[in-house]
This record gives sequence, C-alpha cells and structure tokens, in this order.
Amino acid sequence: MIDLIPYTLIGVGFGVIAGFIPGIGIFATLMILYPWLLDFTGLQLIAFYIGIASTTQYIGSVTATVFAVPGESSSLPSVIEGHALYKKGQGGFAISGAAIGSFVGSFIVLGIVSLFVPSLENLYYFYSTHIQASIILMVLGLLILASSKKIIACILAFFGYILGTVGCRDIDEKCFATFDNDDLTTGLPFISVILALYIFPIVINNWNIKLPTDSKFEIETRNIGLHLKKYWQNIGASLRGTLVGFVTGFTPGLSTTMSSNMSYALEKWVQRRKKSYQVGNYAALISAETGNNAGSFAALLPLIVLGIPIVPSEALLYELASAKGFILGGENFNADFFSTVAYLLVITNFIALAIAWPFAKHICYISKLNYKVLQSIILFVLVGVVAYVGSQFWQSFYYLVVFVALLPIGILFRKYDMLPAIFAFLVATRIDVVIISLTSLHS
Amino acid sequence: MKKTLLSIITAITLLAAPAFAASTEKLYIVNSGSTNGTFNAILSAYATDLKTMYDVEYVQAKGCSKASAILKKIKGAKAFYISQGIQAAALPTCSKDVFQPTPDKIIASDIKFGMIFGPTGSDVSKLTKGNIKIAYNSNVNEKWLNSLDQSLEVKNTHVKYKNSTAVVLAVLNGEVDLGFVNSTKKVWKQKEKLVGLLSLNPEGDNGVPPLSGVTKFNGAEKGQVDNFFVQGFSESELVKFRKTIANLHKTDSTVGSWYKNALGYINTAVWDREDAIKASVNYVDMWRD
Repeated sequence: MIDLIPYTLIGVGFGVIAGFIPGIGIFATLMILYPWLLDFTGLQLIAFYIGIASTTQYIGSVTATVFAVPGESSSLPSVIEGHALYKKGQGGFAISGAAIGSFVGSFIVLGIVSLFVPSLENLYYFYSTHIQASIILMVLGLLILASSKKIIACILAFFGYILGTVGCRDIDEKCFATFDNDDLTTGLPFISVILALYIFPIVINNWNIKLPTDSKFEIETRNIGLHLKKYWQNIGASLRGTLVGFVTGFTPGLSTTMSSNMSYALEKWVQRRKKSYQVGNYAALISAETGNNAGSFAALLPLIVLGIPIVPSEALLYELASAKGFILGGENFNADFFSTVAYLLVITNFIALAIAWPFAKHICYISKLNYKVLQSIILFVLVGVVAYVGSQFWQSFYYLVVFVALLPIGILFRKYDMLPAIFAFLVATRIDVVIISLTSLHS
Repeated sequence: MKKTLLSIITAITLLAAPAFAASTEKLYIVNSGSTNGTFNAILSAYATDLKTMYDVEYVQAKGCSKASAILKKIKGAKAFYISQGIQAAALPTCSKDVFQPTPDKIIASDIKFGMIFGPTGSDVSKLTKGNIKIAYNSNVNEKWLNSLDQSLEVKNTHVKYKNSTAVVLAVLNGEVDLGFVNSTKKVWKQKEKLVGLLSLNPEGDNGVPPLSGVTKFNGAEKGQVDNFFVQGFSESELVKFRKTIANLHKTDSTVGSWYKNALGYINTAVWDREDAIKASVNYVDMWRD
C-alpha cells in the first residue's frame, strides 16, 4: 500500500494545478496527462485519481473565492458566497471554512461507509441486467433533464449513441458503419471524440476569462484558533452539508455539482428562515463545500464497488485502468481494496487541507499568467495527446481525422451541454449489450 | 577527487555497456483482443518478460481486421501475436492465413475446456430437466448450447452476455440458473459461491465430471485454443524463440506467475513442438463447420 503513496502525492500536485487554473478541471487535466498515465498500473492510476479528484475540490474553492471564477461547476457556491466574503475582507475565513468543512465532510463519510464495507462486498450480486439498464437510463434521463434545452439534449444523446456504436462489437460480432475500413472496426477513439465534442468547446468557452488584477490579495490564514472557532460555531451547517452532499453525490452525471448546489440551497433556506442570510454567508459556503467533498467520495463508490463510472472523469479512469488489465468493481472489490482507497483518501485530505488553507495567499500569482497563452498551450498539448495515444494503437492519423471531423460539431454546439452526448457515446456498447441480454432473458 | 570521478565514469560505462553491447532486436507484440480482456493481460505479461531480450513495441489491435492489417504493415519485422482458435475456424474476418495454425508460425496454444456451472448447491439434474435459463457469451457458444439441448431433448432459454465475467456475474446474482463459459478461470475464482457441474474436458476438470458422461453428441468433448503466433521469424529463430517462451513458463517470470494463478489453462509452450502444432490444428479444426 505504501508504494502507492507517491502516486497519490503526484495526483495531489496535479490537483493543485487543476484547481488553481480556472476552467480546466480534472477531466481536461487527465486528458493532458493521458500519455503519461498509460505507464501506470491499475492501482497506481486509482491512487493518482484519488489525489487529483480530492485536491481539486479543495483548491477549486480557493480559486473561486478569490477570482470568482469556478474551476468546476461544483464551485459555484464559492463564487457567490466565498467571493462576497473575500470582498468583505473575510477571504481567509471563507477559505479556511471551505477547507475544514471539506476535511470534516470527507472523514464523516469515510467513517460511515467503512462500517458497511462487509455488506458492500456483496452489493454486486444485485447488479443484474435490469439494474444496469435502470442506472444507464437514469443517468441519461438526469443528464437530459439537467439541460436547459431538453430536445437538443435528446438529439445530442442520440448522436453520441450513434457515434458509440460505430465499429464491431464483441457480443455478437456485428459491425456498424465500418465501410470496410480496418480502423473503423475498432470503433471511434474515445479520446478524439471527447476532446472534440467536450474539452475543446469548454476551453474555447473560457477563452475570454479575465482574472482580476487589481484585487487586494490579503488573506489572513495565520490565526488558526480563530478560524477553528468560527468553523465550530457553524458546524451544524457543515454536518447538514455532509448528509445532503453524500446522498446527492450518487446522482449520476452530476455528482459533486449536485452535492454542492443542493447543500448550498438547503443551507441558504435554513439561513433565510433564521433571517440571517445575506450574500457572503459563511454557513451556506461551508455547507456547500462540505457537501462537495462528501459527494466526491459518494461518486467514487459506484465506481469502486460496481465498476460504474458516474462522472466523465471516472469513465476516463475506468477506461485507463481497464487498459492495464485492472477492472474496477464487481468481483475485484473487497475489504482490502476499500482499505487501500480509504487510506489514500485520508492522506490526500490531510495534505489538501494543509495546502488549501495556508497557501491560499499565494494564489495571487495566477493573475500574473497570460491566460490566453496558457489556454493555447493546453489546446496544443491536447492535439499532441490525440496523436500520441493514437500512435499506441498505430492509428495516429485515424485519431486525428476523427478529432478534426468532430471538432466543428463540438464548436457549433459549444453553448449547449454536451454531457448527454458524451455519456451516451461512452455507454453505447453497454446499452447494446444490456438490450441483447434483456431480449434473450425475456424471450 | 580524480579517483572519485574515475570511479563514477567507470560505473556509468559498465552500466551502459550491456545496453550498447546487446543488439536488441525489435519485436512487435500485437494484441488482437480488447484492452480489458485476458489476451491483453497475458500479452502484457509476455511483454514485461521479453523486454529484457527484445526492443518490444506493444500494439493494441482489437479484432481480426485491425490485427491482420497491422501484421501486414509490419511484414518482415518480428511479431508475436495471439488469436482465438474458435474465431479462426468460424468467423469470416478471422479466417485469414495469419490466424490459421501452421507449423511456420505457431509457437504454442492455451488449451481450455468449457464448463457448465451453477451457484453452490445446484446439480446436473437442473440441466437435464430443462426449462431453465443458461447464460453464455459468443455466437459459437449459442450454436453449441442448441446442440446440447437437442442432445438432452430439453428446451432451455439461452441468455447472451458480453463476456465470461458477465456470465459469471449473471449466475452469481441469480438472473440465470446456470452458466456456460469457455474459460473456467473466473469460475474457479469464485469457487466458494459457484460449483462446476460438467466439463467439456473428456477427463473432467479439477473434480468436475465430463459432459460426455451425461450425453454424447458432436461437441461434448470440444476443447478450445488461443493460439500464439509469430511473424517474420526464420525456422531456426522460431525454434529459439519457442525455447525462450517455454523457459518463461518454467520459471517465476511474469508469464509464469500469471499462469500459476490462472486455473483451467493448459499451455503447450513446454510441449514437444510437433505435439503442440498438432493440438493447435486439431482444436481449431474441431470448430470448423
């Protein structure tokens, strides 16, 4: 287990970078690192992922508080409440409260789940074809419902499904849209599809982000006792956030976004009832941040127990780990594996807390970066990643062609939520398999 | 100071020397299976061991079409690859020469015998009475299960799944009554919860009785092979390479350890070459229509 710690630490390092740079997030970071991650073993990948996923939640709220730019959609409450506190000169409390809340939320959830590990080991017995079908339908349904343009989301989901069915499938050796092309028989490369339809449009949408350069970056983080006292006075909000965040963290496709926003909405309501709410509310902020981290752990459970990724970055992790012969979930889940995950989560949370709180004041250096140059570099690196990953399969040209062919569609639909298309693309084969199994089960 | 510097230079030279001295020849290892399947696991183990002898380049080429296209591209260079014998016999896209077991390219095979299994407590009578749900994967197994039903004069519902993992899971969660898999590795892994009922091995398998003892039909004793091939090797190079592979199986190498932990595989790398070729050919021909 100790040999995995360096990988978690590397993950923490990249989590700091992913959280600090607004608009990038875990998924794009994983994509950039993809060629390098191909050399990791399955367990090393998981250790790395735990480090990056947890740390991003801590650091993302610092960026959101100071710059009012959400690193991830789950950081929106920090943008509203945290930044308002920051402008009032209470940025230090906002950051420490978010960090302590995240820490507390993670540990409570970890403790509760640990009690149920023996039962979790048998959970996969219930993972029948019907349950699989229900989960896939529920995720797709929720992703579509969460979109503001539901009809477009349906069309995009169908488009994603069609893209996912290109190639020859294992279950019945049938091929679709391969046109006698050897490359097409292997299916459309997911890295090309995701970059063209999801990542590139996100980076382009964030092209005009302007970080404030005239703010006073004064964050008081030294008086630890004062910060702990402030948190303790609001611990009820943090505990409510933990509960709501954990439960809503299981929401497929939305997970931490749902956790932080639901915890935030609930606490805002509580504070309003107490007639103590105004923008820049500490309790609402720590509830959202606690919920965020509790949700981040909840999202990990379906992946490690059942092998079901419920957010895109987990789908990427699942794909990478599978390529290394490590199949997450099902028969591979046991108490030892859970202990490893829990142990790495504890380490990550301690380190992330230590980084997010006292080092928050150094975040001002980000505003000195030329953001457009940084984004150009990211886009350039991502194209290189497509070519590199393709070369591992002797398909560099094919990977680039698919990417270039789909990029105009991604750019055209960049204002729409592309998650339904991406999810449908990723699970298209699973959908086919489930349909075939269900058909023969009921024949 | 000079002495220390000299020692460092000597050490570096000594360490670097073998790398320059040994001319590491390029070897392409081509995986025709999926990235999350058993083929990838086995070939990854081979790649780890062969890296010390060759300049290994691992190529993922899922499916017969892509794999044969890549093998065509690298014709002339040395390549080591794997293919399912049953597909070489029954699937049009896999019927190409590169996947057929011939003496000029076959190195060894993994011989496997399929098994019918169920949850602990189930017995053969479940199968012989009929009217049950049996999980399976692949089109070839669908045909085989139909022949079995005919031979037992029963009617069962055959439920198709993606792979053997899904078949095992379906039996574990009670979605089906019994399962049929080509490779028994995953069944043995769950031996506390699952029980082997009948084996296609005419001699039985780890205490599981042979199917041929219950019913006789063309298919009751059908074994399957996964074939390991080479391309771009001369006859003498092939013999030498086969010896290398056999040595890996005899030692605690990565490959050796993999097979030690995987019940239900009979690898022919350590067999006499003639016998290994004969076995590969026989077990492929068995599945031809």
